[in-house]
Amino acid sequence: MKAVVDRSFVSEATWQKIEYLMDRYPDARSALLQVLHAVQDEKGYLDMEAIKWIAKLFDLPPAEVYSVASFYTMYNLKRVGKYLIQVCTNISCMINGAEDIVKHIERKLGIKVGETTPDGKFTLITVECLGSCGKAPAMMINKDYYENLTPEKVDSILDSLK
Amino acid sequence: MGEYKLLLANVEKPDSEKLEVYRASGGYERLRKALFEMKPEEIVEEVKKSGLRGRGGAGFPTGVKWGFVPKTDEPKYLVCNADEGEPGTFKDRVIIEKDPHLLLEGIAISAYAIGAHEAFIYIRGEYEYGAQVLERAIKEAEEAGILGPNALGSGYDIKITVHRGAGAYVCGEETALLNSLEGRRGHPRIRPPFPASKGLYQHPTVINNVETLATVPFIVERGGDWYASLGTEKSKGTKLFSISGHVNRPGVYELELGTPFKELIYDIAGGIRDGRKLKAVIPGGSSTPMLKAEEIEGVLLDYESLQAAGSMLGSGAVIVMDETTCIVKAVYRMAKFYAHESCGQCTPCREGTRWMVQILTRIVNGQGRMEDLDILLDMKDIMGGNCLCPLGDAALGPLISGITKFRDEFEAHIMTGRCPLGG
Amino acid sequence: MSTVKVTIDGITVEVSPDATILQAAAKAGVDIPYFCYHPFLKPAGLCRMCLVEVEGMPKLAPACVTQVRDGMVVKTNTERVKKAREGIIEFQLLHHPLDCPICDQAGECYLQDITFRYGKATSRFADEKELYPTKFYGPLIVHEQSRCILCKRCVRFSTEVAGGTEWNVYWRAAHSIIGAYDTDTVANYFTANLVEICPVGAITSRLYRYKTRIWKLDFTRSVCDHCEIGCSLDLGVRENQLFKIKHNIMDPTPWLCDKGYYAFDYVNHAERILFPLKRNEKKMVSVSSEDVSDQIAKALEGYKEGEVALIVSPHIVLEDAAAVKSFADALKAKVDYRVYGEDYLPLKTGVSDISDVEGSKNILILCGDVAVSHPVLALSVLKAKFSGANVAVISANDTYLGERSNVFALVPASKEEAIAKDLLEGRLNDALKQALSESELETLRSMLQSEDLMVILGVRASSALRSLAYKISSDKGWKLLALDRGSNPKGLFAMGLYSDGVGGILKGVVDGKVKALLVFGVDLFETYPDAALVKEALSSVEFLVVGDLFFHETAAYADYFLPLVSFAEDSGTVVNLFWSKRRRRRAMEPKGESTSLRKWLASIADRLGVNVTTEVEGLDLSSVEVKLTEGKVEQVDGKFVAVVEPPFYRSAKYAGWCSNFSEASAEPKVVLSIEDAKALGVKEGDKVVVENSRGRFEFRVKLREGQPASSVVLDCGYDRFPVNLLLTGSWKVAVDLKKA
Repeated sequence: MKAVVDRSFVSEATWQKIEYLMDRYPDARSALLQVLHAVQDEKGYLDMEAIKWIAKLFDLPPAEVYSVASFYTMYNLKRVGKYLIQVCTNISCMINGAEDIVKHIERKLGIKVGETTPDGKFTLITVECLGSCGKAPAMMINKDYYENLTPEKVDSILDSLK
Repeated sequence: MGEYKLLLANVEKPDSEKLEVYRASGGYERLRKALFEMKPEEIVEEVKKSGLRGRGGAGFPTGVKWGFVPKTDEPKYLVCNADEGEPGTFKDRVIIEKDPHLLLEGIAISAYAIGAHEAFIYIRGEYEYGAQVLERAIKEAEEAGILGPNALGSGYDIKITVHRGAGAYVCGEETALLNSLEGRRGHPRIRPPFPASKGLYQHPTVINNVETLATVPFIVERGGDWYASLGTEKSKGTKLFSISGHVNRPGVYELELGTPFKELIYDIAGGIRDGRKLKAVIPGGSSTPMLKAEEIEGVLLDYESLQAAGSMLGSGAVIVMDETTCIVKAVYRMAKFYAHESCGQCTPCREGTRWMVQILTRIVNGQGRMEDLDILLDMKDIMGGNCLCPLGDAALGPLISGITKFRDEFEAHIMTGRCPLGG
Repeated sequence: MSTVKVTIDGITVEVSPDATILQAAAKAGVDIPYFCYHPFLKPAGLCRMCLVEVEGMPKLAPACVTQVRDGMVVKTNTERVKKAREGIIEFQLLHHPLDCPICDQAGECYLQDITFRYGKATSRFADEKELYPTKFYGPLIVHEQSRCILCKRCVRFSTEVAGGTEWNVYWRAAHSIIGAYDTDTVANYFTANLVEICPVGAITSRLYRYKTRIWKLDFTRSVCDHCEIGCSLDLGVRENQLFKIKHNIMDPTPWLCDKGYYAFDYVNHAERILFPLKRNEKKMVSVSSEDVSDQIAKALEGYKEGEVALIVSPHIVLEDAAAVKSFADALKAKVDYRVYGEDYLPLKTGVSDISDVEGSKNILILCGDVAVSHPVLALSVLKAKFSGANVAVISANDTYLGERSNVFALVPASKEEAIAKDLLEGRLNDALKQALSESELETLRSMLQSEDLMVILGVRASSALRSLAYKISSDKGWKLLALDRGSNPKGLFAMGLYSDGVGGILKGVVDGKVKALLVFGVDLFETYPDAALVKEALSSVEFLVVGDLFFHETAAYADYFLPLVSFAEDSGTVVNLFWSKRRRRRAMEPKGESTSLRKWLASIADRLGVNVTTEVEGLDLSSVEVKLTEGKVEQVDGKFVAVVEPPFYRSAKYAGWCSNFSEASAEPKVVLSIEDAKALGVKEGDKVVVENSRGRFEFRVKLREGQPASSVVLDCGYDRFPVNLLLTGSWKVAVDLKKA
């Protein structure tokens, strides 16, 4: 059967990227993680519609795609805020005060870990080691690293985000 | 002994990630030498001679690993393991971000040595900047005719693809990594078959760590004997150490293997912060058993010496904890990490790590029972060696060493319901 | 083949060098407990219950995945193994609810049995159990994540055997969850296997939920009655009620379909007629078994040669068929079993076992939805595909196998036969080319050039197509498998239970030639593709006897109704798809005064002074000859051409009296192409009117990608929804559609 994939689901740039990725590997399925990244980059998160669209692209059951996506922590399967704050709380960050950083952000934004601010701007989560142990404590906001954090530094970072 | 800058020789140069900067210091000349002057088996021989061992943590001799690849016509793959996720480890990130061409050159030479024409760099998803640096570097090198079809005009084709993970520590385990690279859940595979015979797409595959592959160009350039002359009799060469925690100058340092442990902590990393006393140190990433301050006396940073001290060199990630650190909490935090990162396939790892966290949560919250410590120590027997992949054993490293070495601290938590350090 | 010697707990056995320790232990008679291992799934080594000590290996080895070596010494009775086993059981029980008293798996639960045998009596767990809510996935299965031990047998079945379904594992670590994605109803034709292979009570059958205890059931091995594959079934009976079906052996495959597993409760149905009935004006009144035979015999005595005819279901056993045949011969009556209006007869071909299918390199499936008509065969086709075979499905309707195949074309219903004919003759029809991608066309071409090709003709294939396929495959050395409807069509053909078709008999009634009709085991309104003809015949026939389990629409015209037994209450022989005899065994006593067809006939024949036989031992299947039937390749034209077929969950025998089963296909749908829907101004879930000069029905719209324009599929098999009224002898018909 000729598969009909609705290209307009993603932007032309993302579609180009997906075509490149699916062509890059000896087996197209290898591109699944990269395509999930690419679609998430555009949409912010992967809802059921996105999962089904990707499933069709790869000729896989949607359950299989969701099974893969849910295994990895970086895929947002629910809507997240404009800024996803990911604070490392693993050992090197913990012993350098990561818990205080988390508490500080919770107080500042008025949300708990796992929650999103009512205006949809920030989502706060804690994550495992980010590989910034030498500049602990550290966090990522969306894709950018912020290191050697102090409460004051966190304030100025968050305040600078529009 | 001090620092020895081999892998880190370029990283502080301005624009060190650019091809022209890399070439200015002899970059890709080792690839030229390999492709034009050496047969693949000669490279394997040199690497064997060098005594280079896998720098990802397991320490398996690299040349021997390469030697397992069958001499058949089927496709073969080289995979660079850049899924740096072991808590405390941040050494590969430096090479990836600051000297990507060194890694690419190492990959190209190694691929040539094992007969692969396609290589993948599996980089952890969080290192998106690193992935972009690598992708730019690959493009630069391909455009310059160094990589890609007919590399350097030698007739040898090499295609390198950057593959981003998406947040799963277990994908650092090589068979889980292969599943992830095939677009599946990162579940470790049953071995045998080993990747060297049935790896990526069921074809022979070699998986090497970033640091390991970045070392290969120097071995080709100066010979295996030269590399073997560095380090100690049994632990040859240099190693990157990522030191973090309560030290004055945390960071990545390259040392000859066999450098005294205390030299790294007290000289190179500037000693314990605020003049406090050292309490414990994790020598090789969170899964290696922790050592008490007195236990590092006279210990050298190499495979044998650390093993003799009851721990492991691991990935060279040294986590330093001063006297203010609550070991119970540290152990609890690491247990939580393993419970979160267990793939969930095999019973002992999945259930054991969850149970550990449940028990440790109670102890941290002041609701522990003395018999909890017996259960936790029993994990060594009922989990240890019984899991499908090494993650379950890794979870035991901090747990067992923490309780055995700091039992009084655990008992204090249980008996008083509080942390004696006020944490 | 060379063997190696392995010693397990002191017992030395010789096994093949690729055997695992677990297989060697089975041979040595040493019990090694396991959860995740399943003999017909790829070993996964997940549960770690089968850890054993191997001399020379530092760690304990999982017996299910560790290959033997010559001279290997294995110990399963050491302290280390004991401790590991206790540890694994303790781990599995940490968060497992101790709800065995209300768990349907109790009594056949691996976790229960293994804990009892190898576990410790006490628990050290002092923390809170993490529990999940119960999830009902539609009318067939219940999922209790809390009881799940994550052995992934169900997920492995779904991916490795069923070719990918909505069932999978999500998230990870201890919070891994099993379940369906994007649906609240799991009804994928093979959910039975999820229930059957779950070693604990995590996936259970809703039919069996809280009904009885496994140890209270007596099991009898019999053969499934739903299609001609004839899977082995164990029928679990308590107090003369059929409670549960199990499938414990690999016969013919290790797997079962949902028809065999769930569609059995009609046997216990309250609406079953358990006493003979006779017509008294407009009412049916009960009559004794003696009187009913007397009266029927007396009535039949009045008819001359050729005035009596019999129509029987293609599900009756050979012993009944022998009785029917001798009865019909004695009365010089015509008889036929082709109640679905087929004009073809079963083809005996060289395919003699399901392993022939599984070993094929190329499989071409034409004109039928194999997963609906012969479900387990579809899994064998997939097994071939997973071993590297090319599978092509070219059909006007397909709901399972096509999307899991290498080549899949949904073709217009009007041209289905012509496309199939062209294909068999080596030509690719333009309509087919349009439906396929370049790579599919390439694969299809290479398949047609291969000598190792199996052609499977679905139940819709006409007599002309069957004859053609038979000739071409004989010429080219292809293998051919021609599927028939019913569970014993091949046997009934071999017994000679055919004349000029059920249509011929019905027309004979209408023409006044046939005056007395005996119909057994079938509601012709449901099976025959021309309800108007059935109605005309049944209204005009002088004398009508109907025998069955239920008082269906055909029975409503009867002068006498004879209660028959179900497959569970009778023994007998059937001939399966591969022309072998299969033996059914009686699992329970006949209910009420119901009895087998052969006994009713014997009783009537006795009063007529003729003999009937039930002798079938003499039936020699090897001497059955092929009878090719003539006919034209079917072509139906119209603005819309519909294929009428029951959906899976309406396609089982007596589906209407299997409430859970039939609920899984709750309402009749029309499958439409996306462009037709657009032109009609309807979307998924809307209602459309389907009509022709003979009738008018409303269907709910279901859109299907790849469905060709002007071609629709109509569901049939629903109560009080006689879609057959639209038909004129074929299951394809021209109709008109409009928005409701």
